[in-house]
Amino acid sequence: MVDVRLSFSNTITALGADVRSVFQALSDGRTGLQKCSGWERLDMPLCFSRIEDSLLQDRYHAAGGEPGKTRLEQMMIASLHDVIQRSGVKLDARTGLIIATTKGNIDALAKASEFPAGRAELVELGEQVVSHFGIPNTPVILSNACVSGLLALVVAKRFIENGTYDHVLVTSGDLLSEFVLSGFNAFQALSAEPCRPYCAHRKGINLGEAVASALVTRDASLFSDDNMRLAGAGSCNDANHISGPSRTGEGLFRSINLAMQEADVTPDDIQLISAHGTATLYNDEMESIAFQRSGLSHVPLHSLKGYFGHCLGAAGLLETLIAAQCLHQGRTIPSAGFAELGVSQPLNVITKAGDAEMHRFIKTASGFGGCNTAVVFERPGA
Amino acid sequence: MMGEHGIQSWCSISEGRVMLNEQLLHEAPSPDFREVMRSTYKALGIEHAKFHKMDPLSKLAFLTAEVILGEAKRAGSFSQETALVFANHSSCIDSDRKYQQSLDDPGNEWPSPAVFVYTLPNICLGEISIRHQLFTESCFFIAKEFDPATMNRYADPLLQAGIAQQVLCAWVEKNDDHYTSFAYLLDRADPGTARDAMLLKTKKEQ
Repeated sequence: MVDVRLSFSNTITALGADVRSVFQALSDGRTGLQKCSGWERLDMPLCFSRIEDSLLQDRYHAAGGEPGKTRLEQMMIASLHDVIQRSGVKLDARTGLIIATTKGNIDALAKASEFPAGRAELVELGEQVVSHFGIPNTPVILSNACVSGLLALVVAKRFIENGTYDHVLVTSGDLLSEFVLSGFNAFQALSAEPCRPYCAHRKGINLGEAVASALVTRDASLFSDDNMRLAGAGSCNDANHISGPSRTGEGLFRSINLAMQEADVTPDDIQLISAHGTATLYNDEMESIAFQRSGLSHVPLHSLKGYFGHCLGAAGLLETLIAAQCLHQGRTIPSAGFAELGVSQPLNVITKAGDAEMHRFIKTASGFGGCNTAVVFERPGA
Repeated sequence: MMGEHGIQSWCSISEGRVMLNEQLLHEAPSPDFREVMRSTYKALGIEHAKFHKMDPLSKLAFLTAEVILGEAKRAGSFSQETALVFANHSSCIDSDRKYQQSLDDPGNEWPSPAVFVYTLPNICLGEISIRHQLFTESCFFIAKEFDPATMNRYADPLLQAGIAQQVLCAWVEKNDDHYTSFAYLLDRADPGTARDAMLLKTKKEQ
């Protein structure tokens, strides 16, 4: 079996422009969420997280970014640049690129956009990123709703296992846009207060903007000090509803089982669940059922949506990078916004930051279209 | 080459014609997309009320899957362990435009959640999974053009690892007046004789 690792990584969020400073902010109990009275033409109280313009400009400038790129292209280029620079990975035929996003440059469709509508094409997003770095391979673009960022790691793992590539650069990102905010609002899924995953008082989701990138590789000379083994993965559909979570958590349950089987572990081998936890009534309830069915109810769990909001395509990878830091630094991050269990099955929700020795975590994500993904990560030497 | 799997069957919907394994299965009275969807749905004798609520991309993907999986069911070779590996160029651009227009329309107070939900390309995979009760892996890729080599590189390991018994690979493109679909079913038990030659030929025809 090929030993595939999640190696050098970067994220740019409302809480900073690299993984360690974002992790430090979470350890200090800071949140990236802010309350606002509206966004673009949406005149209503909202709560979301967004990358500071000056921070993005600074990072994009440091990446040697040229003018004429959209905000999302700048985010992906700045984030990937950091990973490429620090890892020293060669951008040749053996290095693949996966771009994961739910809506890409969707803001280019708006009348007010300075970019032509054609810029909303995801193929165009790929070309903009590839041409900046001179990457010779055609990018693999993945658009699988809110599991995109996590599924991208699974796709990278498979492409390395079957010999297509030795290394895969993954970048995942989504914008805070009127398009998506209004859509979630039409579903009456948004909370105007900071979200409260798994809590009895949860009222819905906050949206967030982020980019997260990583090098996935089999080459030991490119392993970072804080690398993680991609030990097992599963991705299964609920086959139940296109916009509502399954009442039985079937797809997530199956995904977790596949991931644990491939990793050859039992629930007792897992010390942390980095869950999806959007803080909608039905999603969190579904997860509690799936975790109970998987024998994981006792495992310490957090959702990071109370710090970043739901960053859509970036969420799965961003949250993976934070969980990896929890294991390497031996620190737990509490599930922000949680006060009192509000789901039907028991969960061990982390409420206080603390020290803990952890060897493995499981990351889960679920999304529209009934998709679910679960990945078991292992700290090497554990 | 190790790990290739053979094509059990293939189908396409293009220019008003529905093909299954080189046989003309149905020809719509006109190549107009709505007419093709309506008449194909009828010709296949499907009863699935949700079909009429789907966006154009989901309709196209749904009927394409229906032709090939329906045939597999009749032949007794259908497996519930069928993974879905789909791709296209334009994502769900028709629904994206429709939703954006509703946002830009000053007379429209509130855009519809029923339109918004289809502004994700992988929704069509959910529709197919529901219809055929597939609790399997489903993945939606965006690519400049139909590239069976990349799809197969992703599908083969799913079959090798036993994650799926079959993989339905499909290119489903819908953008304004333009539509085309091409799907093929890879089988774990079938050695991949002449697969690449066949796909190359069909790719040229797309």
